[in-house]
Amino acid sequence: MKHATSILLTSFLLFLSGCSNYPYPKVELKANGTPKTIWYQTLQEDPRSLDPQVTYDSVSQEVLFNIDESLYQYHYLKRKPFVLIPALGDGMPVRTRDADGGETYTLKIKKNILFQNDPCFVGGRGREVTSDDFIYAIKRIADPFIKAPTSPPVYETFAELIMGFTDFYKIAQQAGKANYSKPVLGLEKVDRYTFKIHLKKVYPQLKYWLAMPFFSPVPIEAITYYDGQLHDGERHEQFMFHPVGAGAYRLKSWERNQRLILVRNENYNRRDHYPTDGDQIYRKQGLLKDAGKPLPFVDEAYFTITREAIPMWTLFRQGYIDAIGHMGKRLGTENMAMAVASDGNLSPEFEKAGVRLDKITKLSTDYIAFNMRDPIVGKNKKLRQAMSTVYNFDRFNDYFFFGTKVKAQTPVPPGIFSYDPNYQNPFRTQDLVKAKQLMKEAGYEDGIDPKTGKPLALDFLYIAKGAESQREGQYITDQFRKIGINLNVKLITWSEMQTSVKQGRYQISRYGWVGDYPDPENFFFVFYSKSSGDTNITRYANPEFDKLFVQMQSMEDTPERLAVINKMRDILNEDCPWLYTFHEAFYAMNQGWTEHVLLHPVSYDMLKYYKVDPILRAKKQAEWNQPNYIFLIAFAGLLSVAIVPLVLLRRKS
Amino acid sequence: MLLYIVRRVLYTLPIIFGVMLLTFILFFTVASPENIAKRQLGKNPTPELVQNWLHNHGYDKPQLLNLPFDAKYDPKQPWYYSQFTSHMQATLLFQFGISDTTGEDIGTRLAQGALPSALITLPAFVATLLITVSLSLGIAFYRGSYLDWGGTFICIVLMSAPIMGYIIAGQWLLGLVLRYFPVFGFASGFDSLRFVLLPVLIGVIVALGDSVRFYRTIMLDEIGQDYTRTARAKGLSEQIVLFKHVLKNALIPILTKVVADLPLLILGSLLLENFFGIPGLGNLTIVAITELDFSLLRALVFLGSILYIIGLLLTDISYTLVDPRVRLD
Amino acid sequence: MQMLWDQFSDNALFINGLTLLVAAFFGTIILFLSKQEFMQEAWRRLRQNTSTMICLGIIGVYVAIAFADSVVIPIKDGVAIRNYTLIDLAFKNSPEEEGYSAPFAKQTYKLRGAKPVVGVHLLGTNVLGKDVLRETLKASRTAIIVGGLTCMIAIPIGLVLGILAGFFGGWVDDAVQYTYSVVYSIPEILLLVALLLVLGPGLPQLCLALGAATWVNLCRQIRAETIKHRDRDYVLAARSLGVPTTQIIFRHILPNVMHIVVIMFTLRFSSLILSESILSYIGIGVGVDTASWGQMINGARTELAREPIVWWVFLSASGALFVLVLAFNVFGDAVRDALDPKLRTR
Repeated sequence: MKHATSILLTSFLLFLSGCSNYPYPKVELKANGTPKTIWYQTLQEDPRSLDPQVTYDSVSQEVLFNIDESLYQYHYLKRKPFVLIPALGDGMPVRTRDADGGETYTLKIKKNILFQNDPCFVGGRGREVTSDDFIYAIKRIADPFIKAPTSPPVYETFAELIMGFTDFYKIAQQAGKANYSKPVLGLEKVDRYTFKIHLKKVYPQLKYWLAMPFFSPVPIEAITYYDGQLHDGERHEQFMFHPVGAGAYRLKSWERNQRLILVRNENYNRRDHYPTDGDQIYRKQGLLKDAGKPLPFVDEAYFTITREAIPMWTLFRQGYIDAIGHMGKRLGTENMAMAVASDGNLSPEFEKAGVRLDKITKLSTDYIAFNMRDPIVGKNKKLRQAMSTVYNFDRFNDYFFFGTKVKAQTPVPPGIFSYDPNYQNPFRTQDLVKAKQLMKEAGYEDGIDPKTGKPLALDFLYIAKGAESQREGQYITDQFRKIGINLNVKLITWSEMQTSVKQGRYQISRYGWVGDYPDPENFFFVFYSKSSGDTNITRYANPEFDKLFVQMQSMEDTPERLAVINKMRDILNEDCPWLYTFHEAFYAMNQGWTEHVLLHPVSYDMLKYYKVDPILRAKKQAEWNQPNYIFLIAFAGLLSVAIVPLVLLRRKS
Repeated sequence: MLLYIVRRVLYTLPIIFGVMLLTFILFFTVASPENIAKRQLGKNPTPELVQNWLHNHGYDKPQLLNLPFDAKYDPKQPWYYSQFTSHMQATLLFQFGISDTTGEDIGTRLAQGALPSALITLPAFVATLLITVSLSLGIAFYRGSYLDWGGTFICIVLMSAPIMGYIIAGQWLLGLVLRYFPVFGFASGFDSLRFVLLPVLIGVIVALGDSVRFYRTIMLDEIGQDYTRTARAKGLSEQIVLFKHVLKNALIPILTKVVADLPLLILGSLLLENFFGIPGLGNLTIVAITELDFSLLRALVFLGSILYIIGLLLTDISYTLVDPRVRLD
Repeated sequence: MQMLWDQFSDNALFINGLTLLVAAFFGTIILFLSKQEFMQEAWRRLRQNTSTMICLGIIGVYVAIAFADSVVIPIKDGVAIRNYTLIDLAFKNSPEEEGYSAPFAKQTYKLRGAKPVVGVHLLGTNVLGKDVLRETLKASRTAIIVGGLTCMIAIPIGLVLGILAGFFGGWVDDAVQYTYSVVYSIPEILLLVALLLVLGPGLPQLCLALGAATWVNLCRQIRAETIKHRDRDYVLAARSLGVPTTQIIFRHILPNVMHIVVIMFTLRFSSLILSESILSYIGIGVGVDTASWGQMINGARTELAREPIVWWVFLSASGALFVLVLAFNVFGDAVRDALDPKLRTR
């Protein structure tokens, strides 16, 4: 008995001394003995793939944008309008019109740019990036056999644009394997640092694509080395789990389901510098303090994978992650409510902690999709219009998003050419009388299906993401009940929804479109009949719209283009394949010790611009995480008090 | 005795067969391989591409057996050429193949997840067993006192809250307010200890109410038996009666329950691992469910089943050790 | 089958008929049990204990609420005829508010400007401005169904197979053991996931899946207990006296394992309701249109993190859940004491 007491006491003391809620392993030291500067952030899930040519989900891109640099990049502080500046490119592209109505982009690459060091290269040292690496990478887009967990619409977009692109794809498909030694007509190597892309028609949006990882260079050595096979008893990873690029960071380690670490790319040589110029608003905020300083600032970046919103939030409050909300969609609204007061400002508690609030509107549109091939909703325009007219998003926004989202009237989100904040879609202005009238015209007076004599019942797919989706589903059901429609909400997982929607096995579904670049073309592309299935999930097809779309595609941002776009908008309003709900807008919060951390509406995290003050961070962490022993002692006291009567009781018996 | 153990071991073989048959039927009716293939391939795959994928993942064979009525009957192959037989063969050799979604080697992922899971579940298991048995003994000892009804009441209270409540409350109280433990993360080696403590503590508390309450009824059952009265009449002290006689006889139902809880060891920590960011098998299961990765899920099911079967084996053997009256043959 | 169900699922006569059928089923079982001598004696003992009777009363209230929410009355609502349950009717005049409002509050919870509250809400309103009391009451039905229907599926299977296996041994035991070993060797949560993915979300599907996972444990316990009694002297004596096997089972084995059924039933009842909440956490619980405490508690996870805190939904749901579970446990304990032949003599 005495032994037990002493063991308990020692373990209790041991427990007290070991108490710490620090969630990371110890920080390594640099060669000169100082600790590394580390950026801490969370990810909602493992990246699905880090293969630049096929990666399309936001979590993967968040990581990949720092590993793979492309020819161009968005200017960090010029956002009104968005400005592209060279990254790997030497100057901006030179565009020349071809005689056949197409155009040619001449693209130059900076000299002496090295890939990151990697075992796949001879001697493990990264070699120089040349135009061959770009051409090889672009050919990979047309390789039908690359393993792609997500399906970006890149090939679909460029099949009709780059000369000979479809031939390369089809030959590969027939042969069962892509032959990269076969040339593509539209991809021409001029010299070691110059190449040309020949397009079949004028396409001003190409520059935006060239700022995305899809067009970033890939060394062929990495593809042959990382094949997922056994080599001399050692299994090489697949390329999608081991990217090799020329960006500011490289992948250091990736423990699945736990954490992913990026480390500064030694061969980056701090070639990029912090901007010396920016929008008025950023100049005012003093974001140019570090102007001209070499990038990147932080040595390593820890991406901790947290599937649950609550621990992610706790980590932030403890000061163990530097920013939260960068995966805006995934951050539970519940946490936002705590930090953000009802007037949209930071609550005093967080203000005191030095947290800064950052709000952006993403280039995205959330919508309720009607399957245009469905015999009921697809063939009845009036029915769709009625549903669109009755649906009230404002209250939904208040209830579930604290009014943060921007109500959508058209597919085009704010910040993009042709967006008009004052425009009112006639079928997105709530009007119960009009909606009931439309239902009558649709043949369902008061929602009664004349065939059965019962209320019209429709199936609705919604994402199951916890208890909120139940309530959200209930809200939507109530909305359509106003015009007598019975909605059967089916809660399914995101991957199930993707499958059902892409295969057209649905009636009505919630869905969203996240823009790839700041051009309206990207937001009307989803209604183009040739993108049916993968991106045009409603399978909407209207020849008149298609004609206007093709016309609009090759126009510069002129009043004529606006006129065409407005015509397209009106066609969509009338046909109503989408019930526009909202444009994604969200808050992000950055700790007081971070500097110039700004979300970008189009591009992903630009880690290289981020700066942290590790000394201040360590101080705050220590201050915020002092273990509170009084409770433990009080608890122990309480327990012993509870035990005393027991001992007495036992004595008696 | 030895003969019995050998027989009992041999008896597990058909069970493993049955599990595999059942899981095979369940998982292959949930989603057709064609759909998985189409989802994985993206980019509007051609029929050849789908066929190729199906072939690589072994989904192009006849389902149960290569017999003429099967849609995928192949007369050139022997009768045992089927998804089922190859599935059986592969799982028995612990070759789980590659994941449906990422194409990674499943065996490697399982091996990575086993240690973190074991670090949570084994301490939680042992601690739960020791604490619940001693608590229920204590309650039985003080039966009829305020401790008895108070303890039972607390057990009922503990049983009434959902597991998420414990996790959220534990993270909030011990992580955020009192700051004793990290609420998230994992590290390898000795450093893992501080990450493991809070999940283990919560795991014990979650299991407490149910188990103590059940064991208490068992103990009281035994206390009411004749042999206890006889022992007491012999003049043995209450402690000896409890520890020697009652505990020994209560072991059969306790063992049964412990084994019944075994599969939960790996998979009951599902939410715990998810909340605390422990890269174990429970977390992997959530991934498999959300991603609908059927090959991964199948592997996890098989692993869990094997574990349970071993547990069952051990209980049945210990039955005969504890209570010589019980004979299964 | 599906079409036939669609045809009748909103027919008031059909729904009420089904409700009565279920009520009749349980009534028959209670009637049958009350004819049994051991139950009559147990009932005499139970009646003497006030707290037990209070708990039985509480359970009765819940069952009555569930029943009231199952009986529908068709009422013409505009052009369409909609079915209202008695609970719906009771709240027909309760207005909806603009979002959250605390119990008896004059104003709604401040989101973007508070609005005046129109009606009186005993337990406040939820995020959609609906009365929480109504939802809490409607959720009782789900709880009773999840617990009741699952046990209705699991108990007969578990009891019959367990006793047969334990009593007869030999190939019967082998077959039963084989079946439950196979089913139970599949970890419960995965079995549930797989079954629910096959059957789709919904209340009956959930009960079926839970039942398929529940009977095994019961069967195992019953079997172990039967084995213990099978070799006891009084059974051996009865056997040697030539008492028929069925009589031995009903006279000696069944009363001796009945307390396991009761304990399992009460223990399981609460855990079934909790399982429901975990399953809806993974995203495969009951459908959207079904109110349940599990869903309310799940939703409250986010509400409890709000500033100012939204506590009334969580407290209503967990309070209702807690009272029911407590009542079941206390009543179950009392029934166990009354039924258990070994404790009777103490």
